[in-house]
Amino acid sequence: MNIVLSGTLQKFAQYQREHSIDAWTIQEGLDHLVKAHPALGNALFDGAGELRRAHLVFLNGDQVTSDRFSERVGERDEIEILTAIAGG
Amino acid sequence: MMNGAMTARDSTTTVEPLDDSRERIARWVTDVAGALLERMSETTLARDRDGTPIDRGDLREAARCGLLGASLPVEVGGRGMSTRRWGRVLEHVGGACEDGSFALLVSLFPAVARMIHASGRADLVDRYVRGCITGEALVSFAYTEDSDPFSLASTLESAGDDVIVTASKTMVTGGAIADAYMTYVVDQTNGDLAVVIIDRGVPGVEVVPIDTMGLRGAGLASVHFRGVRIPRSQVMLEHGGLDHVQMFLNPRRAILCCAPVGRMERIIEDCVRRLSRTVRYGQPLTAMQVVQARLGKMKLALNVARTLLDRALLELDEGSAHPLFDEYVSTAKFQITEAAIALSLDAMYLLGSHGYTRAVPVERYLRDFCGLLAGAGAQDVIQTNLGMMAIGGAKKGR
Ligand SMILES: Cc1cc2nc3c(=O)[nH]c(=O)nc-3n(C[C@H](O)[C@H](O)[C@H](O)COP(=O)(O)OP(=O)(O)OC[C@H]3O[C@@H](n4cnc5c(N)ncnc54)[C@H](O)[C@@H]3O)c2cc1C
Repeated sequence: MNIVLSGTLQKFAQYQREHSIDAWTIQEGLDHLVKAHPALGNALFDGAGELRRAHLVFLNGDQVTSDRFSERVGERDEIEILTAIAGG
Repeated sequence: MMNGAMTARDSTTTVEPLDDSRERIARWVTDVAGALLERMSETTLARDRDGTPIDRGDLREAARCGLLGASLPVEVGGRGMSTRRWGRVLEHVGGACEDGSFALLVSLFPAVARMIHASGRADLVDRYVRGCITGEALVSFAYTEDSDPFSLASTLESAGDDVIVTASKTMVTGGAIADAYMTYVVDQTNGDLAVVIIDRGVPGVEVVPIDTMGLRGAGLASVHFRGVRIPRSQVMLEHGGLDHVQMFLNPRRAILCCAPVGRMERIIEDCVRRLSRTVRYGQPLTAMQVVQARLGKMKLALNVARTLLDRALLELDEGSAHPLFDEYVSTAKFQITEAAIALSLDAMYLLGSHGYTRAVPVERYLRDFCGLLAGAGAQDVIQTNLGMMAIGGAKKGR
C-alpha cells in the first residue's frame, strides 16, 4: 500500500510525503510506518496506542474510522492521513 | 443610566424563550440582561482606551442574569439551551452590547465549563462548572504556545501525590480575569498531552496582560506556570490532550462567530440611520445608487454569514458535525471572519471622514473583528486543512 502523509506529519518522517509499505491492513501499515519513522509514533498515537482522533484517514478517498483498520487492503490501495489541527 | 445590578430581573423568575426565533430570543435577552448590556455599552470606550479588562462584578452580574449558565446542563444548575438557541442569544448580545469583549467572554467561560462537565469528574464539575454558572469560578483556555502542536515545550512532572507544571501560554482570552486555567502540558512520563486545571492563586502562576489591537476589554494575557505544584486531582485528562483541544475548538469556531454576526447587523442599521440623515446635493445619501449597492453588499454578507452559522449550529446540535474538525463549522468561521472585516470596511467607505474617527465605533469593531483572524484557528490554517481534505476526498473513485 501507499501511505500519504499530510503536511504536518511529514515533519516526523524526514519530510517524505509518500511511503510505499508492504502490509495487508491499515493498522499493519501504520505500525510499519512508525517502525521506519519512530518520531511519528507520538504524533500518530495517544498514550493508549489509539490513533489520535485529530488525524483523518482516507482509503482511496473514502474517510475510514479505526474500526476498519483491520480490514484487508490491496497493494495498490492508497491510505492518506490528513491532520486537521488548528490552534486556540 | 440604569443600574443593571439593581434592575436586571433574577433569571430564575424569567420565562425561557419558547422557540428559537430571533425575536423571541431577543426579547428574552433584553428581559434578563438588557440593563447590563446597556451599561456595558456605555462603558466600552473607557475600556477600549485604557485596555482595562471587563470587571468581575459585571461577569457575576452576567451569571446572575442567567447568561453564563444558559448553555450548561440543567442537572448542574444551567438552563440546558441547545447550541442553536445559545448561538442566537450570543448573536443578540453581540448586537445589543457595543463591547465585543463582553460577548467573547460570555461565550468563552461556559465553553470551557462544558469541557469540564464532559470530563465527568464530580469534584471539578462542582467547583468549576457550578462556579461558572454563579460567576464565582471562571476558567480560561490556555493552549497556545510559541510552537506547533507537536513541539509544545510545557511540561508536567510527577511529584508524589502532586504534579509540577511548567509552561508559558502566549495568548489567553480572559487570562487577566479568570480564576483558573484549563491548560495543556506534555506529561514527561508518557510524552502525551495532559489537560490540567490550575487555579490562578497557586504560587508560580504569573499573568502578564497583553496590549492588543482590539478586544481590549477581554483581558487577553500571557499566562506562565513556573514550576507550579498542584494536587494530581487537578489533572482532568491524563492523555489525549491533542484530541481534547480540537474537540473544544471545533464548536468554539461557530459559537465565537455568533456575536460578531449580531454586530454586523447593527453596523448596517447604524449606517442606514446615519446616511439617511446626511444630505448631499439636496438628497439623503441613501438615495444614491452607489450607496444602496454597498449597503446591499453588506446585507448579502450578513445573510450569508447567518445562513452559514445557522447550519453550523444545527449540525453541532444534531451531532452530525465531525467532533474534531468539521469542514462546515470551519467554513462558517472562516467566511464570517472575512465577511465581518469586509463589512466594517464597507461601513468606513460609506461613512466618509466620520468612519475614520473614534466618535463612530466602526474602527473599533474592525479592530475587534480582526481578533477572529487568528482566534480559534488561524484563517490560513483552516484554509490549508480544507484544502487537504479536498485533496484526500478527490481521490475517491480514481
Ligand atoms: C483575539 C485572540 C484570542 C485568542 N485566545 C486564545 C485563547 O483563549 N487560548 C489560546 O490558547 N490561544 C488563544 N489565541 C491564540 C490563537 O489560537 C493563535 O494565535 C493561533 O492558533 C495561531 O497560532 P500562533 O499565534 O502561534 O501563530 P503561528 O503558529 O506563529 O502562525 C502564524 C501564521 O503562520 C501561518 N501558519 C502557521 N501554521 C500553519 C499551518 N500548519 N498551515 C498553514 N499556515 C500556517 C498562518 O497564517 C498563521 O496565522 C488567541 C488569539 C487571538 C488573536
